[in-house]
Amino acid sequence: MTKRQELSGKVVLVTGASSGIGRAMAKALAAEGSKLALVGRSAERLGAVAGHIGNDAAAIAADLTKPGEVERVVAEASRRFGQIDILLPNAGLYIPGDVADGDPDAWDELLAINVSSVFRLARAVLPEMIERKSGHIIITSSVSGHQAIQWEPVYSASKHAIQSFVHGLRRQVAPHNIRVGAVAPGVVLNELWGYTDAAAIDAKVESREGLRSEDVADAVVYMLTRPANVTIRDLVILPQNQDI
Amino acid sequence: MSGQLAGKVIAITGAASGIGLACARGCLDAGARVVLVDYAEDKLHSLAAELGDNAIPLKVDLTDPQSVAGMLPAILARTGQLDAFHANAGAYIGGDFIDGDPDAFDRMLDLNVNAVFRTVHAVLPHMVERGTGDIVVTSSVAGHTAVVWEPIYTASKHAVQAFVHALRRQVAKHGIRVGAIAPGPVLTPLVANWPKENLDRAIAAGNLFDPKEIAEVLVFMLTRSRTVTIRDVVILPANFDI
Repeated sequence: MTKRQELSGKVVLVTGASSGIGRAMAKALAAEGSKLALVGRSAERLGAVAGHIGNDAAAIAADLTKPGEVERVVAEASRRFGQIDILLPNAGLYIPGDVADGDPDAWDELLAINVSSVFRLARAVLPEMIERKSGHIIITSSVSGHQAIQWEPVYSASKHAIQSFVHGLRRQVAPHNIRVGAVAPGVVLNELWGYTDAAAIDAKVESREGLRSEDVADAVVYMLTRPANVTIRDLVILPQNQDI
Repeated sequence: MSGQLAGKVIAITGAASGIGLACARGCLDAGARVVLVDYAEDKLHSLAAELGDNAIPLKVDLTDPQSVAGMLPAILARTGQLDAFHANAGAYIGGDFIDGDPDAFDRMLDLNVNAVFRTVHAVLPHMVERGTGDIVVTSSVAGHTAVVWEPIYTASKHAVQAFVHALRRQVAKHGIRVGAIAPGPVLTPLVANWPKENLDRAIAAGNLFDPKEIAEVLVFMLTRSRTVTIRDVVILPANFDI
């Protein structure tokens, strides 16, 4: 009905690409004809995803919490593909549980990846996007960024930080034709939540208590393909029967 | 997207103009039968003639409880089923609260809030009985953030958001999905009531977008796997500063 933004030939940098939502997004975008800079901690697991995609994928192993790594990753991706059209900061950690029993060092690690690395990635790609007057950033948030969830206060706080960042950043860069949005899933049945067994995943999807990573990837492709004059700022996607 | 909604029946309120009409066209294009619910009878009939046999006009006064009571029976008499209900009809009041007309506030709340409750209440038993169904409400970005130039409107849309989020949890066990589309300003008759300087500025900056985009979102939401609910979509003109 309206002019779909084509993703063929676009260069996409996706973090957390070796598993879960990141891997599903990489595969979905490869099917759209995008070129992919895949970022993750494990070179071996990234290599498997890149191998599945073929020539249009580059695996860049990095720990984004280490000084200088975000900037190196963005520079490598730009060198390989010329520019970055789409940034998908997706890597994240999950820590639930009682604050009284929690490990503050683990929280720092979570905040470093869920929050700081996202800020740094945006900082690293924006100058060239602003210069080109074009770009799209979609951050993997969570329904936990839209409402405070009592069994995961630290995680929920990290995703609220992301929501604030998305809404604030969007207004800063919109005049440069750069779009910023966030996808906010409920329970996704992947490694981050301890689901690796295909039969267990199928059963939870069937009972509508969990999403497949691919459901989220489809939503992100939908957001990315809207016409250039439209931004989907937020999309909250839940398992049909998640009581939240 | 032809055929994606083949076999489905969707009722849309406020379907004779603006976002409702665009959504009706979008669902018809996707192969659905669409019940166009509106109060503007003449417009409904000329639209039905234009849109073809799958477009079913239904005159309802959403602010009249008796009229709403007749809505679902009239839909079922014509279609036999209702797969999705899009509570879309709404009114807009902007401007300084202190200068506003409280009777006009009441009329807006009747349509934006009370009519949503009443119509959804009317269609839910049918969906519960079938163990499936979709409720989509046209909300607004003003339901996600308090918008200074429209305090009454923004309050009405916050009410809608709270309703969607809470109702969803009540009816999820029946296989029913509930979600809201929250657009920024769309080029429809509603924004003609905007303060003129805001409207002029928005048009000049390309800050309004086509209601067809909302139709695309509706079809996207309705065509997800039944295991997936899209609860919220906030969709804005790319350069809208909110």
